[in-house]
Amino acid sequence: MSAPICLPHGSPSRSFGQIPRAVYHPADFSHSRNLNTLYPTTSDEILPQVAAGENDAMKRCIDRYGAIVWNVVRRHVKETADAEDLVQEVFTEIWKKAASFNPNVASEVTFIGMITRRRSIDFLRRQGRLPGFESLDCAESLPDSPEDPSTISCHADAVKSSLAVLPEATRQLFDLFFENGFTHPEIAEKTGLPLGTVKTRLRRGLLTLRDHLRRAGITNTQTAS
Amino acid sequence: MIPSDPDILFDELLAGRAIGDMSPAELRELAVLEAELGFTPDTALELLAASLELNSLPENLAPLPTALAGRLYQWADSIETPSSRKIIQAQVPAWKIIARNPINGWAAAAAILILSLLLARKDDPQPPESAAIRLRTEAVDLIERKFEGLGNFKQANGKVIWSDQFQKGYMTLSGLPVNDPRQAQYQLWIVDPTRDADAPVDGGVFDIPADGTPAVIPIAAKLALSKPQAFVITLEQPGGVVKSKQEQVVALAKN
Repeated sequence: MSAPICLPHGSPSRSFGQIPRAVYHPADFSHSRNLNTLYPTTSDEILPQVAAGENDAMKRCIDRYGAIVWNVVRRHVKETADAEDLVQEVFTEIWKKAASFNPNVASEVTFIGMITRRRSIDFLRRQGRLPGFESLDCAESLPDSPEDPSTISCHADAVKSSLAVLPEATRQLFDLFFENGFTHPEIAEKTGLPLGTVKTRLRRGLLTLRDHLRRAGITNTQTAS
Repeated sequence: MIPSDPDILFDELLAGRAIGDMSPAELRELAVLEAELGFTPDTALELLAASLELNSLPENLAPLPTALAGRLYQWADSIETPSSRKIIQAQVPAWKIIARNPINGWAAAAAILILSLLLARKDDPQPPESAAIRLRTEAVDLIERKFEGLGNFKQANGKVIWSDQFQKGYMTLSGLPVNDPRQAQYQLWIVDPTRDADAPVDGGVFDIPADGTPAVIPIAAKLALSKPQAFVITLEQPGGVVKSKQEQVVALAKN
């Protein structure tokens, strides 16, 4: 199947719902389930063009990633007006951070997904809407540097196998949190686990995945060499 | 159980940051580990969390709302000029100069003050929608408050943003009845704690157009403001008044 994700033909905002082909990078797992088959590898990255101040680059970025940003934001922020403000914040952040995008570290869509998550989490924190946790007196931003030489980079298959290394109970929590978007208190209620256990298992599960992917990356490198 | 090994604790805090479930105490703890112990942030966990979340998105994504897309396009138009990125980039080194060299600091501070005043005072050629987004991008001291409708205007709502640095602000309002400017106009009042509490600053008059879209309205403060505490909208005679009798208080946004 090669059709891009898009709105029904003829929609007035169709271009904003479309993700052109070749958005996804092979070296990450944001598309491990079904998207990697739709979007093959490409060097057609748009963020370097944004960073260089090329004409209409930011508009193309909005075209390409607008729907993704909107859908991620809506998972976190239910109120439409707030979500719209947040999307604007996300794109200004993308504009400011475009120069720090490194295709060797992450694909564009993952980089943009990370910025979107950051801003969404910051927003919820500012609003004191992170359920089950205390709110902050003042907003604390996450660090600016999205690059890190020790970051992971792995293939879709590696991710699938990485998820498999998690205990079944943790996989279930991952499913509820990342797949279904439930909050920690909701997960605690559904599973009967204490809130602290949900929090700890999600965190340690994420660390386990990262470590596994790093080991797998080293192994792959050694095998290749 | 809290790990006692700083490395393990740091890792767990980073995972909490990536998941978004940190308490204020944990945020402070992470800041200490980063700043005082020199631990280097690792974005791998954030990228991993982002990938997991992206992977869960449905194949048929909901499109950007058309109006939002239009605002983003307007904003993109406003920033995609050769000079805009240079201005943003030039501001950062100027602040770094102050930090590094106190002798040059005064000169740089004066230059930035002049630049800020010029930016604040010159007529803004951008549409208010784009200018509001730009203010959000550039102001480091932005305050944001929500309007709540009062009395007969309960359906009114919206937001106000303000920057002391730029002496600029914008209101985004919806649910306000359309006014006939020949009959009455809305007027904004701003309560500045450094001024007489009984004499709020006139923030300008404005109208609500008939097209039904949420209106983005620039604040036209008649005096310089410092950390405004409240924003009040009243309905007044055409052209506004010097001092409101507050007979029709429409909406209030406060700390």
